[in-house]
Amino acid sequence: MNGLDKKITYFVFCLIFFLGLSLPVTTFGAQIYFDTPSVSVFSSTKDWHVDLLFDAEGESVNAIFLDIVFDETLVEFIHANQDDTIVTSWLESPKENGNHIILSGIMAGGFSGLIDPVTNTKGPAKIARFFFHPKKEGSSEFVFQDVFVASNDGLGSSIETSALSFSFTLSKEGIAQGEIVADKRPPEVFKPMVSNDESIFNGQYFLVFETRDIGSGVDYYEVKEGRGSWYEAVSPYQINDQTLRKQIYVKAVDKSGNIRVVKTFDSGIPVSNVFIIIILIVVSYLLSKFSLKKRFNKSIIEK
Amino acid sequence: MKNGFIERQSHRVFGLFLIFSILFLPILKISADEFVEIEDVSISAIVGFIEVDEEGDGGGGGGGFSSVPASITFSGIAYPNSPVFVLKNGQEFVQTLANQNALFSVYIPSFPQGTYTFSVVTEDVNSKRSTLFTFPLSIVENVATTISGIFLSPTISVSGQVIKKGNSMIISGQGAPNATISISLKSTLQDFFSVDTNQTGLYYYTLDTGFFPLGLYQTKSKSIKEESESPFSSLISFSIGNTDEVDGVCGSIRADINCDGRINLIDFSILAFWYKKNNPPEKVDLNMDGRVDIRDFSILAYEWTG
Repeated sequence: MNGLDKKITYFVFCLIFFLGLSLPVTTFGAQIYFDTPSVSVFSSTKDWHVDLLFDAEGESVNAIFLDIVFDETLVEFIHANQDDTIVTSWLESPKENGNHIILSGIMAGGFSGLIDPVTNTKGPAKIARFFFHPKKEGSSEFVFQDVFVASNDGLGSSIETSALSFSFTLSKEGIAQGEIVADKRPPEVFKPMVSNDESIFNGQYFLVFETRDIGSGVDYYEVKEGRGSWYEAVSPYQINDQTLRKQIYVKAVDKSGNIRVVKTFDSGIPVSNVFIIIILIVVSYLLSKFSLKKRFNKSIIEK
Repeated sequence: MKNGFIERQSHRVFGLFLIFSILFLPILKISADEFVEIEDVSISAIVGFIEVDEEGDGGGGGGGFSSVPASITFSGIAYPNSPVFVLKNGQEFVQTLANQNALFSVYIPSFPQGTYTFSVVTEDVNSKRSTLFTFPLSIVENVATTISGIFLSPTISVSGQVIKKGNSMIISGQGAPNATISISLKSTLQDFFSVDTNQTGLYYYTLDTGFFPLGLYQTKSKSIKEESESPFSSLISFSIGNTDEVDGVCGSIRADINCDGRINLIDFSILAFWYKKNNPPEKVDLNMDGRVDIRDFSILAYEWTG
């Protein structure tokens, strides 16, 4: 290599180096992974759990679909706890389907990282905590079979996401994570809404509802119209009484059996209004009686 | 001779490039960063205890300590006298009213520890909502969190779904008072126009469609005030065609499936009803790919107003 070649090589190297510096630093892709506070060797005799985390890595996302495969001969999926989830509405809350756990949901307004107000930094956040019951000793892994993460760009475009498998071992000597704390809190208060649209139920009125439960997660909902019976229901629920005269009650039951019951509207006249009406009736009665008495006295005097 | 000449020229080119890189590197960096996100929002937290001045006049001395419950405060600019809603995990949670200068502040005391997605949204004089200003927050006991500098987006409406070429299209809405509204109009090319809001935050822009070719257009707007910028409003579509077609609310707001002017749990539930089902109605297939899947829910989540 002669002197000129060396200089050209040096020039090209510098060109690439400075161009690289001049370009904005861009990170591609989000990350989904399992996290656990202890090592991944769990007790083969006690229930255990693992958190499913999402790191936006600077991207803004707003919808997620995951299909996770697990070895059903080794573990039994008990339930998913949705405490502290970044999912604002579940389309499919984490449920077992054979040896798959499928979940999907949205993050209304988008998610680009969980803000820690103390450090003023953004970090990963929890999607759900999965609880498992061990069936026998052995080793296995959770594998992501299908992953879709949507960009918060208003187009539904997908974001390149790396989903990392989780390897674990179940052994008698493995770490027991401790007993699951009993959930005594009912699901959060919620507000069912009535609507109708020609695209579903032939334009008839329907009810929508959704709540969150901190502790064990919502198991199911029941609906009761007026003095009728409770029926298990899913949102949207087609209302039987299309005159909408009946009060509708919605019961949310969490996986620990705690119950929250809410209703669609406050029926009847409020107590304060009833009180005012009674006072008005009494006052008008007294006034009419007083004026009648006055007229009667006047007529007697005239006679 | 020739080699010497090439050598000198290459040195000159390299030198010029080096100077250019050093001079323009910071500019390139700043413009890239500015594009990423709006930096006017301030997040602060008081941890554990706050110092309390017992004399109350800043006179010093006699100070003590008081514990701080987990609380959260949101403050910023909406529209003059507009209702401001705080959503918790996408559902309405607290409501307040902005003052006549459009300033608002919401204090939520004694909040339980956990992870929450808070969003702030406001409503214009026509009950149309701004886009969400969203914060996924980790609330920790004994920490008072303050989020200030929230600048809510303006609303935007157009006077028709289809406008006859040559006629005037009115682009209007509400935003911060006495602010500049930057309107983006996009078809094959992107144009920007600006107009000022009045004291009530209202703005009107008359677009002469005679200068634009026939076709589909998308428009959105943002407020600019005292060097602060709001996020963009929702995206509105209209066409320049051969006739005028005035449509109501329905259809002008994307993802407002039941046409009530809101994008919320009702629209989510209608979409959920058609999830993975065959032959969905046209209006629930938001990305028009012939099916309702997670991509349609992503569009709904983007447009969510609560």
